[in-house]
Amino acid sequence: MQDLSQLPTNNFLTKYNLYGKMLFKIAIVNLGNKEDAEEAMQEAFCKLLYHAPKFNDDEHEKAWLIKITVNLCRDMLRSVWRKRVVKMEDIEKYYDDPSDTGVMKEIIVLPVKYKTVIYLYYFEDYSVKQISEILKAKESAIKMRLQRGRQLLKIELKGE
Amino acid sequence: MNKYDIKRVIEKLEPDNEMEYRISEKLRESSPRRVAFKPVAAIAAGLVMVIGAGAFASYHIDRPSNGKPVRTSQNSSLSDSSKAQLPDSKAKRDSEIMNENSGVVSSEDTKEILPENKPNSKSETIEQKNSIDSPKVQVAGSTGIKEQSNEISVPKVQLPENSTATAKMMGLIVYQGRIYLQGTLQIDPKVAEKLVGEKLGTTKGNITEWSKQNDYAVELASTVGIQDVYMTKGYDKSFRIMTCEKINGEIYAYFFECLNGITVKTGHDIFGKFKMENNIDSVKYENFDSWNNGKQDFKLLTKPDELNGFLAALENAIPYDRESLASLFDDQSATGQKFINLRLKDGSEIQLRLFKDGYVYYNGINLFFKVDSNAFNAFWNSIPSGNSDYSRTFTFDKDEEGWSGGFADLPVNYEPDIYDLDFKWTNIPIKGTTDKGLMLKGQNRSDDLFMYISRKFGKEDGLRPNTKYTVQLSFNLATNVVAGGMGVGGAPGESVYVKAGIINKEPIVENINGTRTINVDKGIQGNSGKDMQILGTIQKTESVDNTYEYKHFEKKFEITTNDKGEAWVIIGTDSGYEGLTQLYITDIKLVTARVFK
Repeated sequence: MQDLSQLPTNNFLTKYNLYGKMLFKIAIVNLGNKEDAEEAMQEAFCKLLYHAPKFNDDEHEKAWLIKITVNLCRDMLRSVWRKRVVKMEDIEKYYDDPSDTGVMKEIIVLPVKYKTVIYLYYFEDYSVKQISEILKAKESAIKMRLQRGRQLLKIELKGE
Repeated sequence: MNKYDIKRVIEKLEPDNEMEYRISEKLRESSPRRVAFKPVAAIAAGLVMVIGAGAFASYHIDRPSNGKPVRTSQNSSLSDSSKAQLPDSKAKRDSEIMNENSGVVSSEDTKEILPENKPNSKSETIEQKNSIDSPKVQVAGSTGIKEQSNEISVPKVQLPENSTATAKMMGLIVYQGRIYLQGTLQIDPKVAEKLVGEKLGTTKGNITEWSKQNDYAVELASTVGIQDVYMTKGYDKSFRIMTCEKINGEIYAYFFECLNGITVKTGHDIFGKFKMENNIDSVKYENFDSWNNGKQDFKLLTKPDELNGFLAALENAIPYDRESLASLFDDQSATGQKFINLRLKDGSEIQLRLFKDGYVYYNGINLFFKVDSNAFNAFWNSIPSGNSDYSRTFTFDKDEEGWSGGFADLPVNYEPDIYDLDFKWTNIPIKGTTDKGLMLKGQNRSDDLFMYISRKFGKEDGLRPNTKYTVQLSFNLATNVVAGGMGVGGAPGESVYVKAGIINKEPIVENINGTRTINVDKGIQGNSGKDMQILGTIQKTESVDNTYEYKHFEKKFEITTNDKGEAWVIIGTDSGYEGLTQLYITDIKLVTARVFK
């Protein structure tokens, strides 16, 4: 195995350990398959390592990464190729329970703007305000997306 | 489903152990400059660094800042990045060709890099003898797209001589020295049967993202598996061939088009090949939202009078290369782009992407065409606008955005002090937000109180006179009324009905028998009327204190505009609760679609 620390991008390992899992989740939720998710992650890390602005702190960096990954996914979804070949690769392999597969497929088929908000709210535990800052959208718009996403997923609000 | 389900299923999505290594390897192989390309470009990189059919991103074109293409000067040189990717021999050839000051790629140029034993551009196979370090893209006798004033030469697409990219592939077939790229539209099976011509051969299906150069140098090499290739009846095979196969009794057919190795002076050089004049069977359009989300929500457009003028102007349109106007793609607004599918009488279809500034983009060649503004605008305006025709959201960031408020169902001589009526643009009192909206406030002192906001929409919004539309209306209403409350006349929440409607006359409050009465049939309190429907009531669903929270309402309406092309949206509350109601409305969204018979 090659020594990854020798990369010109020598902080890749650190960044991957910090954000790799998160970016994978964002990308696969948006794109629906591992292959595309990996491509989006590669682009995202490339931007982080070579083209990132100066970050105020770790949270700023994380928020920036989320935003550009979501945008990369949107770009990929818009691409000519993607329009022609819509994939939803064997999501089943991540789950033992078929009902979990069903839940994930329901999330994946949501429109991008809803599932991004659903992901950030329910998985990353960001508040509506934080999501609006990350996605540069109005809070009321985020609330609306969250609400619409909930409706589409028929999410029970008990306990929230 | 609940929030724990979501958390659990997302948690289980884990990258495999090798992903870190694979990504690091790709990053290592990639210089920052190379990997800065967009994914779309990367997809094509393994084959031809061209997005679509012929626009090579890695080449340099001189142009002034306004983006208008200019003649490539004799002294033009490749950009540093492009030079770095060209083999010495190729760079030399480019230099020589540039010195010839020829903006047009001729078949003679092509011959130069074809194998010596296959000197003709119609050779059966394509081979290249470039060094391993040479670039992935070769363009026959050209430095890429060359432009002479309004003339763009799209070079003959050649094959990558060293493809190691792991990017996905575009659909293509190599035939008689040309690369034909797969069209984006699947052909209707019935149409396909009629268009299938003489069989040209069977593809080899030998190209994958791991293919070596030699794999391409095979007649009928392809990325689309093994399929029979046919001529297309009515079209020159140098332009369009097709595949057609039957799987489980169903026909799957695609066009493959070669729109390279040509000089484009006007739109005719491209669109003329489709023979569209007096040959249009029907026109469909797709809005940006549908296109952007791959919904394929096409609507039939009654063949507008403006179509012929537009198509004539399109044939005369001036070409611009994609790079010079790439910023047009940045406009992701609902009203900036429209997608047109023209169905010809032979059943084939052409998709055009229209940009509001007067440009038409054709995916198969990656050129923009600037169409005469009069013809373009006339056609553009005949197509229902934007996102599902017309879409607009009012967030009231700066002002009322044209909305006004009113009150009805109270005495003409009411006492202002006790009715406490107010309509204004203001902050919405939800903690932690800076949202703004329209406030409606009033005391119901007379058994009934109707508070409303309304706004006119007209031709400026793309509406046509006496035309039927569906309107999807949604909005957020900030309310502080707790569910299950008690009040005089009715509950403060459950007895205050939210109503909305789209009407083709201006809402006016008139004095009828001493009562301020609106000229809109809104129904009485808990009943809908002819002009307005009940969407719900105002009690909250989440919090149980007196704080405000948003409640979302939406409903679809149908409206026929009046003879001036006008319609009014009206949203209000009809109160049976005899007390104070204070609400805020924001994020009003209208998605309007023209109804075609």
